[in-house]
Amino acid sequence: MSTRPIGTPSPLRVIATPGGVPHAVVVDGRRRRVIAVRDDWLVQDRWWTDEPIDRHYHEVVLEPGRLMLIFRQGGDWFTHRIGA
Amino acid sequence: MIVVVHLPLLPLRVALIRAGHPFDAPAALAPAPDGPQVVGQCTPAALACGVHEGLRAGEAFARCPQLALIRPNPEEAADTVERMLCALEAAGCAVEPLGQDGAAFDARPVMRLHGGLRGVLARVRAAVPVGVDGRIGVAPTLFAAHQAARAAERGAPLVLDAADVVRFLAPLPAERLPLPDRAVEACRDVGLRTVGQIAALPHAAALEKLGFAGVEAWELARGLPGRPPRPRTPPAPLSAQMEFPDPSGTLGSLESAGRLLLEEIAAAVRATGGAVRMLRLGARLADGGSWGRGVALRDATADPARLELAVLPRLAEIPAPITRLRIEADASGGAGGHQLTAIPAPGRERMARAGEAVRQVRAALGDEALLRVVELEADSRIPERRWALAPHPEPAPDRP
Repeated sequence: MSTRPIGTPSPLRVIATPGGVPHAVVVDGRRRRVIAVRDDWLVQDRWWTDEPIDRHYHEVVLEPGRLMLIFRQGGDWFTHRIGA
Repeated sequence: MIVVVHLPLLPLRVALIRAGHPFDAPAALAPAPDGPQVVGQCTPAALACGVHEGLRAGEAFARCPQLALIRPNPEEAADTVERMLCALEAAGCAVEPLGQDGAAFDARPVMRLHGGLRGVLARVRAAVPVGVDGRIGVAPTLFAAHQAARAAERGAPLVLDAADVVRFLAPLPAERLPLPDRAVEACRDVGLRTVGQIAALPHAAALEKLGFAGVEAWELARGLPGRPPRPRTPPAPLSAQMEFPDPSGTLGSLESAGRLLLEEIAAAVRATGGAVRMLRLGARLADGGSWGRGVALRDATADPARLELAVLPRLAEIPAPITRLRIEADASGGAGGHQLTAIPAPGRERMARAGEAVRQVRAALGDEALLRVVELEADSRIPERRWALAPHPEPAPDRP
């Protein structure tokens, strides 16, 4: 029996302000401006393992009104594509 | 001639091998996480320090400060015994399992097949797992063969002829007889401490001292045959397991995994036309050791919902996060014996068609072509741990 996880993080190109707030996201080769950041939160977990999780999540609204969940970990940006 | 393979202290030896701990150092099996805080089987060095099975852990450390507590590994021990039973059955022997103590079988039907008793014993020696110090005894009766196995030297089977049985049994302690403790104490009170002393009793005295239930033990002490080995029906083993890349300990994820495994087993059982009689759950704990439970079903069934009712509550007993969950099923039950319903249930036709559609899609495109979303840890803060895709089970045909 094998299962495939859903929503594994995939890398994403995000243009962010120096303060770390996402300003625009490149989706399918097109740059989409972030209209609003609906929420942001930190997730720190599995610190007792060799692969600790330290993520800063942002729930953003992109230019045409599309909702997207992105997070930054270790300087890189990722998305789960939840809500896309 | 009855052959008995005795595996002394098998759970302890398996746990020591897995932990890389020597057998000649003081060590004992650690208490089970969900049980009383008493130590399990002990090495001879621990016994010499006054530690014994059933002693409270604190008292054991007080008696033997250098005692090492070894985490039990029941799953590995059960696998070891099962491998030996399968090897013996592959050699043509009709084997009666003696729990984790070993196995017994009547060698007469296979003596000509293997060229006499020596050939049979060669096959038995080959079947005994390496490193567990198996002992082999041969005697005309099951009880005598068992005692011979307990007295045998390592690598040298002890063979008793009919004429040797009574003389061999005579000096053994009376506790070896299948007698209730009260009967043993009653015998000890009147100075009957060995099997030979009990065998020397006249029938009337044995009946008075041991009761009706003890007369059979008295007959065994006199070398009479007793019951023959009761061979098991070789099971049609089915198993399914799931590996967890990250240790998982939440009940929700364990139940989700359990449901998936049971559906896989139920589908395989239905394909054979049988039904599940027993299930064995096993889990490899993340920090070493293992956990195992047996589940006997009241009625043989291949219905996933009924299997879930029996199995899922047991998963709450897993004491720590696990890296592997395994379910084995004894599918030797027959599908018959159930009464068919007189009134067809609504949706039967739909289920039959859906099942056929699933089978056709799978046949054309493979098992991975039809997937479904299963919940793993719905409350996890990490999104990729909440759900997963798993192969879609075939809808069960309408069967009571």
